[in-house]
Amino acid sequence: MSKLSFAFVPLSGCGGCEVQVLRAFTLHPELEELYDIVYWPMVVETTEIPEKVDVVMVEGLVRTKENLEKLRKARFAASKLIVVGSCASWSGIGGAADALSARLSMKAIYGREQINEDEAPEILPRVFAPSDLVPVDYIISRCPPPVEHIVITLKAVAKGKPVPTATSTVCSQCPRKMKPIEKLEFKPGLPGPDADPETCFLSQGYLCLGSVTTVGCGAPCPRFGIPCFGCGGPHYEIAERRDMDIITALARKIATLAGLDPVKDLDIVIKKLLEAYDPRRFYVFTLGSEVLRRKPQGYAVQAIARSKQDPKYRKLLEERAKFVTEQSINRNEE
Amino acid sequence: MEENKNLVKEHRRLRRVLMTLIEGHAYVVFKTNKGVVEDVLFQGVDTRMFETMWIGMLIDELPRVTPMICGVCSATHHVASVKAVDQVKAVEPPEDAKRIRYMINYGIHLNNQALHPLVFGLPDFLPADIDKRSVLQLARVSPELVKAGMRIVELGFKIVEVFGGRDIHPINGIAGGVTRKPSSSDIDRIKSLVEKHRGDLRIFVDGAIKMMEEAKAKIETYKPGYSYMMAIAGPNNSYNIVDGRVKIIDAKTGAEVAEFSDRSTEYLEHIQEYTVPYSYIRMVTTKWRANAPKTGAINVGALARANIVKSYGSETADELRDKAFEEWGKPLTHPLMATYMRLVETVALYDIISEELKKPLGDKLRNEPQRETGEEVGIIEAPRGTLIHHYRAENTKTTFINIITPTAINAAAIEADLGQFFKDKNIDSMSDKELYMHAVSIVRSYDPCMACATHAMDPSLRSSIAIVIADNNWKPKRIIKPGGA
Amino acid sequence: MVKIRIDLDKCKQCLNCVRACTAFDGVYDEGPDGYPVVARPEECVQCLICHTVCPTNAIIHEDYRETVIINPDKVIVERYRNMI
Repeated sequence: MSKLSFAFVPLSGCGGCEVQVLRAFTLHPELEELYDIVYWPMVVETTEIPEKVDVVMVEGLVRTKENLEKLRKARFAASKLIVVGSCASWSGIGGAADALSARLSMKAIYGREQINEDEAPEILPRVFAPSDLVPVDYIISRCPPPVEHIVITLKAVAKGKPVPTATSTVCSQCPRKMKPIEKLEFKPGLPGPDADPETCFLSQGYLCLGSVTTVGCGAPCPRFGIPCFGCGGPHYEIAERRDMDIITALARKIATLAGLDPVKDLDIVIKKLLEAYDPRRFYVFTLGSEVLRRKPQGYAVQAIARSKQDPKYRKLLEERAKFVTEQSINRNEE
Repeated sequence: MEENKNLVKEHRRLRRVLMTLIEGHAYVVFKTNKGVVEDVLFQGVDTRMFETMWIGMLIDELPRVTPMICGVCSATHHVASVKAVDQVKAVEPPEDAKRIRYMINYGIHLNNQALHPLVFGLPDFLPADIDKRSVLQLARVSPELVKAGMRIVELGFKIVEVFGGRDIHPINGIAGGVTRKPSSSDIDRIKSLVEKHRGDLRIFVDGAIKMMEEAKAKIETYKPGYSYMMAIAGPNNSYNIVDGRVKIIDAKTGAEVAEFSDRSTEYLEHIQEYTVPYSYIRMVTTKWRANAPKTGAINVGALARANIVKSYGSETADELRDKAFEEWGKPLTHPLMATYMRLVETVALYDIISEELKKPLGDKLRNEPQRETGEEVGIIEAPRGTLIHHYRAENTKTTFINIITPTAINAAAIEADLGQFFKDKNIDSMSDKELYMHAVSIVRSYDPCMACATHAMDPSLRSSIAIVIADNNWKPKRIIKPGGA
Repeated sequence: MVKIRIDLDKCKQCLNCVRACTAFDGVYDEGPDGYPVVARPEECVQCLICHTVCPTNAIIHEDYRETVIINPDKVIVERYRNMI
């Protein structure tokens, strides 16, 4: 069997997925017999994506115009396109930046709205997840995706076999015991030292996204006493069904745990949740994703609108811009 | 006027070369006049706005968010972040919690210091006539070296996983301490792994040092262009990558020129950020050179640590380092020697970690935060150099974040080094391959982690060398795209 | 009749399914070992609310109702073909 060509295209991301894929290749030498790496800026010295590649992996999100062009090129070149990591699948942590205006943020960080237009690529007004922009063949979610997931996918793709998928949530691997909620009350912030290490965070009134996040990590965060932030992306039913959103699905589970009716009393629970937490907190890794922005209830869009219009945040950004300009020296006048 | 423009068009050019074998993407831009280099710029071309995205959210959650700045050194961001949050909330973590955090940082340092030579550093020392130099080529030349090295890299990940909760983007740190201590069976597992891989360490370090010794002429080619070096050192200039005081030394004489606290806003009095029109990296210079920022370039990282720290606390590592000092003189400033110092640190870290693992861990892991409003800083040593996290919170909500990554500090040093090498050379007479080789050698030696700030544009769109016509102030007037469109 | 299976590997014993079931008598009961059991599958009206309240998606309904939109196009085609 001849080797498949393999390319890795990093967009705006942290490189964590690249490291994981590199680990997959070094820990499993049999992968090198299946794939021939033709483009990967971190590993090989080629600087251009070839015309035709069998398998292309994309990491990171689309933040600039150049990212977009690169993604298009990757899609044209690829027979099979695999997106790895939360950024490429659900916009990831970079999506959280959408809560504030991109122009104002640029001003707050660099002292001006756009880095020189001709020299540096143009920043798009919002973040896009690659999986929202082009058709993709496989999504390996999670931040970062475990090495095993990458190895299984690459092997299955090389052999033309279907990739096994799981349907459960993070809760199924979490050792904490779920108990009924006695009093429906939410505590903001991370659990303190007084939190019970054996009991489910939802039962104790802390916000944990485990029950709405797709399985596959082994639940290390709840094991270490930190609630799930949802880095794996939403559970497949939430992604597929229009009547389910992260907040509503979570509220249904909480309502039933508290002995309320999951349909009739849903609004009460959602109201309480939104009073206790910033709505952005439910979409830490998914705020930029079209899948969740297009939900009929529109909680994600509301979260963005609320923080974008908040004069308090605007003022903070302006203050930060002042900090930058005070610090800055204009290099042109050097 | 028109004539003048034409004249400029003829002579002044920008040549842009894409860097590979670094984390993320960056360009080196050459500004030439009739082919002679006038200025070299290091360009990062993207931002993800980490410094504004969490405004209005809880400050406690920042240690969960900031690691995602960089997937390669996420654990270091985690430790720096949690240290800054501690200061904001005015709480000092218990001793055992501190030691667990140390271990997280030691683990990621071990991992990164071994990963860099393997994937980015040593392929560069392969003969230049080999096409597509990479870790895969290196594996073909010396398979044992790469296998042993990768086992050290994996060991680093394991240590971070056991002490930090996850191997990439760890979670264990929290304001006032850590949430959990690793179980004794996990620690035993790490202990046995550390003993088991001692042989691998020797193969890896000896093999790598041999490769570097053979390339002495290459190292000598590149001279430093930066003026200062910065690193954190513990009391008595001991090796401490989490707590201590930040020191700046003069790169020529080795004399200490400034010293400041690693946990207050004092850093603003000594170093200064400045933005440049061509890059998404905010450059850094020393405060007293703010009027001519290029002359205040600071080098951070393994090389700076080697010059500032008196002893690593490991005899073998100290010997290896002193051998280099004897050969090259002190302070040692050749940029390519940073790769050597990374190997030295790998040895030192290995000894420190195996010593640390022997000490038992207590049960007091967390202290109560004292306040909800404040503005403080956490500065620690990342594998690539000094990392600064500066937070402000009002009533538990984040209101201000400023993060200075080692690569941002090094960017000016890279520019200075490139300038030192290329200035007044005629690059029109150099072949693309030669030009590329020289540029990447310098850039890679810094292990620039562009993920901390950047990613690249599509090279095939503008081709890896774009020609930009600039006016007298270096403002680009017109860009000629390949194909002449 | 629909077949209901509970994947005990995934089940967290939260008993949300027992609480949420909309059927008259309730399909699920708490078993002696703390896990829910499917006590009265014949009661199930296939509303699937138990799927949305289960924190781990451990409940599986096998061959449950599939809604069919009836549109036997061929018959009409035949009829009109004969008319011509």
